[in-house]
Amino acid sequence: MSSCEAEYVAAVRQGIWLNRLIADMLGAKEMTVKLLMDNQAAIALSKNPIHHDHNKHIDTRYHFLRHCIEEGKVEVDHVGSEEQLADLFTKALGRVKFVEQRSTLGVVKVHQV
Amino acid sequence: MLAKEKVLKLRKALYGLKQAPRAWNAKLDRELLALGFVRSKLDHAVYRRCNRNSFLLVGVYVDDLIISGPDVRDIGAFKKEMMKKFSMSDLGLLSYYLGIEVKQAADGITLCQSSYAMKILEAAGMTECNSCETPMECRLKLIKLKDKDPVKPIEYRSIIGSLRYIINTSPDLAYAIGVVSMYMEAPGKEHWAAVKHILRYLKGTVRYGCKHAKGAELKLILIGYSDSDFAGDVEDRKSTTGIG
Repeated sequence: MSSCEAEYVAAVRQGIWLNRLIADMLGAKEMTVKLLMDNQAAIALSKNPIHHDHNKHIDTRYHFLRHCIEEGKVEVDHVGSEEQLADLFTKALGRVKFVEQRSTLGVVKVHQV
Repeated sequence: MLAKEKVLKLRKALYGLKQAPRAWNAKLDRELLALGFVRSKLDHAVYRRCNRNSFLLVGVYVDDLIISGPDVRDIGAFKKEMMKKFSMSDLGLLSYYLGIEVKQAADGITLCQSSYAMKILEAAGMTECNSCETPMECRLKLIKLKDKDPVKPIEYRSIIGSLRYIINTSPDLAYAIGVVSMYMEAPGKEHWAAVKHILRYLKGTVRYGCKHAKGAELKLILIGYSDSDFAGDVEDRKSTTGIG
């Protein structure tokens, strides 16, 4: 449960801001942000208020996410731990996984020697 | 010459004064609005102008402007309008902005900070060090200094300060730099070792940058990855959150 809580709280507002900024700059309609998490419990909590009794202590402001889902601004989906790109930002990874995630992020060699 | 007890009252903001940047921004804002631009509510440094079926975007950093838009003629026209109002120089296609080297190619745009990274390494005296492949050791747990006898705290803070700016184009360093930043108050030997580790990684990735590839599809999608380590900090049990 507790890990789910940490994850749920982590679900981001940044995406919403970026989405608005892009829509604003392009003069287009806001799109749906896709939010990928590797925690099933957090996803369940964001979609389904049934578990609510156990999570009453999660402050209302954190249920902002659920509100956004209801309005169609955010879409939450599950991502396997293998493809979890945010791993790079939460722990020190081993060489193989680090190099792999780094290139997925788009960090590449720019200059030729 | 004025008598010693006299002071001068300034009637306008002089360069170098606290008020100067504010005055400059107010003027720039006024001029851009007069040219038909609208300031973005979400980011006050972004201005947008709509005309016919095209548009123009202007990014502002004090007196550096980035102009962008789908129509090259619009950009040229805007430059002429601005030249009339300000004495400014046109640096052409964006290639260098706030220490970030920009390369625009047919397949996408790359941003990197190679020369900035070299400067940091020089300042730290690490230009000749051996590089390593990750910025941080796996499962490394740093703790705060107990006896509060910091090792070269000023140098430590200075290096971290310089390193933080590099995250702009090297998101791969974000976590490692975030961790060492927590010990700026009183860095110890272990913390210095972690910083040295980052610098050695930097040495190996000086030529790396962030590539924003041009997608095959025209449709833009925003995907966020969210994760959190559960109370990963051994001392205060705070969690680290990552957003990709």
